[in-house]
Amino acid sequence: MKIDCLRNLARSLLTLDACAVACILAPVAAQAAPEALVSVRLTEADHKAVQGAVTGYLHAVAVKGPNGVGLQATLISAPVRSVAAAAGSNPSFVQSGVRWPGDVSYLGGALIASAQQHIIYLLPNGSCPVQTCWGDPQGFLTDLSNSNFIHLADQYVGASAENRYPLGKSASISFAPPRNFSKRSTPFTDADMQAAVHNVAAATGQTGYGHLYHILLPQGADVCTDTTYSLCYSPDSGAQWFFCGYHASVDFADIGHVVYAVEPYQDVSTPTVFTLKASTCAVQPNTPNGTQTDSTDDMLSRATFGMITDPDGNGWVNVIDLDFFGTEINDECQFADTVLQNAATGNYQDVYFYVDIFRVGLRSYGLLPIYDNSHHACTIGPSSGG
Amino acid sequence: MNWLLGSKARVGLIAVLVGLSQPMHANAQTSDGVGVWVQVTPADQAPVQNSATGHPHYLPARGPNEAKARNQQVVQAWQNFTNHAATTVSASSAVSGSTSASLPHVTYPADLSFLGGTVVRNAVHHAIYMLPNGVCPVASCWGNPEGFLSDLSISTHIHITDQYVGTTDNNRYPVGQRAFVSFEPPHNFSKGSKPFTDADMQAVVHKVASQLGLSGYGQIYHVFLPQGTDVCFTTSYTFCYSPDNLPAFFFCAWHNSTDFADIGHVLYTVEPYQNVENACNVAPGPNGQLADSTNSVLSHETFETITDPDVSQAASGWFQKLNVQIFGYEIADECQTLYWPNGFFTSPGYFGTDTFSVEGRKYAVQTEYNNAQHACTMAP
Repeated sequence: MKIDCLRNLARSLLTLDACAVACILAPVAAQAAPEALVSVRLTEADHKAVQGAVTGYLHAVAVKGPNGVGLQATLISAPVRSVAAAAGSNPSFVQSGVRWPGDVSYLGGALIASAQQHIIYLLPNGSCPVQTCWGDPQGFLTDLSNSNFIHLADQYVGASAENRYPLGKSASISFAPPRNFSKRSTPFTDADMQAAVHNVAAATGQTGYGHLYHILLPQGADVCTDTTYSLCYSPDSGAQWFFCGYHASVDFADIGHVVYAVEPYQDVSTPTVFTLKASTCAVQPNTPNGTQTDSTDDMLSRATFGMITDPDGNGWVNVIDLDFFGTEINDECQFADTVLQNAATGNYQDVYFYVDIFRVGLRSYGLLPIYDNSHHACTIGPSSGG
Repeated sequence: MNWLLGSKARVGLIAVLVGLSQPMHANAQTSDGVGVWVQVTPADQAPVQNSATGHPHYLPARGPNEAKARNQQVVQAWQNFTNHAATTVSASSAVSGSTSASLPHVTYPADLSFLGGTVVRNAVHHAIYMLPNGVCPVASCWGNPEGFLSDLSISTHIHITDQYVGTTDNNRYPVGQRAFVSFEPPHNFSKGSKPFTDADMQAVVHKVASQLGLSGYGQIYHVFLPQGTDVCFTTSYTFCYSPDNLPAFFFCAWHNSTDFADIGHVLYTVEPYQNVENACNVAPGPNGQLADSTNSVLSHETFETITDPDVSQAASGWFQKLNVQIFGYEIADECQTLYWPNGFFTSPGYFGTDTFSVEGRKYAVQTEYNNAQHACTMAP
C-alpha cells in the first residue's frame, strides 16, 4: 500500500495530476466504517476516466463574503446563458402585470423525481470520524427524504411520492493531507472529485439520474473548480475563496452520466471580528444541532435541491430576472445580515447565513429556506406558506 | 472645465437656459420653447472639487461587460454598507434592527429593506439638456422626457413609491424647470475626444441648481446627453457609457447625490443617449424606440432616486441588504428583464418593458419592485 502511495505521489509530481496525490491507505486500520459505508481506493483508471469525461455543468454555492457576493453575476449566470441560448425557445421574458423576480423557469432538461443518495467521505490519512468531522450527514439525508421540506421539490419534478430520495450506500476514500493553500499543498480540483465519484460509481454500477453523490471534505481540505487554483473553497486563502460547495454532472465514457456535489467543511468563518474580509459558509449560532452539524446539513440540503431540480444546468433556473439570472432554487434564499453584533464582546461580526428551522419527527434542523415558485417566496416546505 | 471649452478657446462658451426667461444664446433652439441659458465656466469646477459625493448607482449596460458591471455594483454596495456600518453610530440601529429574530417561515427574497435614511416624499424634476454646439432638438434627440415625467407624476405607476416614502399625495413629483447647456462635441472615444466625467456632470448640475436657487431633497436634476456623447465616472476613463468603445462600456445611466459646500445637497441622474442596440434600449413601443428607451431608463433612475436618493448606504433609503445574491440592489434593479424577439441571447436584445397609461397616453417602461406584493408591478 505504501508503495502504491509513493508511486501515485511521484506520478502526481511529474504529471501535475493532483488527484493522484490522494494516496490510498489501509481503510480498516483508519476507522471503523459506519453502517453501509464502504472504503474504496482510487486507481489509475479513475484518473483516465476523468481525462476522457465531459463535465456537463457545474453550479457553485457562493461563499458569504466579498468574493461571494458577486459570484452569481460572474460565474453562475454564464453557463446558463449558453444553455438558454442553445434552448432557443421562450424568447420573451416580458410578462404583463405582476411578476415575481425570484421565480425559476424550466429550460426543458432532466429532472430527478427520485434517486438514491450516496455520501463519499474523504478521510485524511484514512481517519476522520463522521460524527466528529461532519455531524450526521446520513441521518440528515434520511430525514430530509422523509420530511415535508423535500416536497417543496414536488412542483418542480412532477412527483409527490414519499421518501423518494432515500440514503443508499456510502463510501470513504483516504487521501494524504493537507491539500491546503496555507500549508503549501495543492488543493483538490474538480478532476480529483470526479475521480472519486467515478471510482465509487463504477464499483457499484450506480450511475445515471437515479443516484446522487455527495462528496464530503474534512476540515482543512481546499478544493478548486479550476486547475489554476483561482476559484476555490479555501478559508485559509481568502483571495481564492469564492464558494462553499458546488454540484455538477459529468459524462464518463465508461459508466455514463453521474450527478454529484462537492461539499467542503462548512463550519468556517474568517475572521470572527468584523472586517470587510469576513467570509463564511457557516449557519448562524444556536441552531438545533450545533453550528458544525447544521452547517453540514444545510449544504447537503442545498446540494440536494440543486441536483434534483437542475442536475445539468437546464432544469429549473431563474432566467426572467437580470439580478437572479442563472440562480437555482437553492441560491435565491441566502439571507445574511451584513453586520451582526456579538453580544458578549461587542464586536461586529459578519459571518453567518441565517437559517430557518424544520422538523422531522422529534428532530430539528437549522437550514436555509428554498425558493418555492408556488409561494413566490423562500420557504421550508410546501405547506409552510401563509 | 476643459470639456466645456473648445480647443481654441479657454473661456466659458456654455450657457444654460432656465425657467421662463427668453432665450439669450445664439444657438438657442426656439422649437423647444422657453428656458434659461446659463453659462458654465471653469470656475464651476471648484465647487465639484470641494463636494462630497458617494458612489454612483448605475444601470449596467447589456453586453460583454454586463456581468462585470453587476458584480462590481454588488461588491461596491457591500463595501459601502459595511464601511459605513463599521464607522458610524448609526451602525448600531442597523445591527439591532436586523438581528432581532430569525427569518419567518416565508421570506420574500427580493423585498427591500429600509435603513432609516432620507427618502424623497415629493420633489420637482428639472431637465438639463446637453446640446452639441447648442443645437439638439429635444424631440429628435431624446423624445419627450419632460412629458413622460409629467405623466409619470400623475400616474398610478408612481404610487408604487407610496409605501416607501410614506405619502399618497397625487402629482407630488411634477416637472419644474428646463435647462440647456451647450458644449463643444464630440466627447467621444472613437473620435479621439475625451468623454465627460461625473465631475463634469456635477459642475453642470451645480451651475443650474445655483442659478435656480433650488437644491436639497425636493429637487431632482436629470442631465440628458445626446447621441455620440460618452461619459465616464472618473478621468481614468475606464468605466463608462461608451457605445463606441466597448471595452470601457459598462453602464447606461446612473443616479447619485452630492453635497456642495455652497448650495448643499443635490440629487441628480445622468441619462446618456439610450437608443443603443444590444446595450441600453427597449423594443419599439408606443412612442417609438428613441422616446421609449429614454423614458424607460429615466423611469428606472427616477424611482431609485425617490426611494434611495443617497445610494445604498448603511443609513440610507430602501435597498436590498439581506439577500447575498443581489446585495445593494434598488427598487428598479430588481425588476429588470430581458427581451429577445428572435430567441434567447439572439440579437437584437432589449430591456423588457410593460406599459402604463395616463389619460390615453401610453408608456413602455420596466416594472418596479413592490414590497406590498413582493413582486414587480406597474401599480401599487
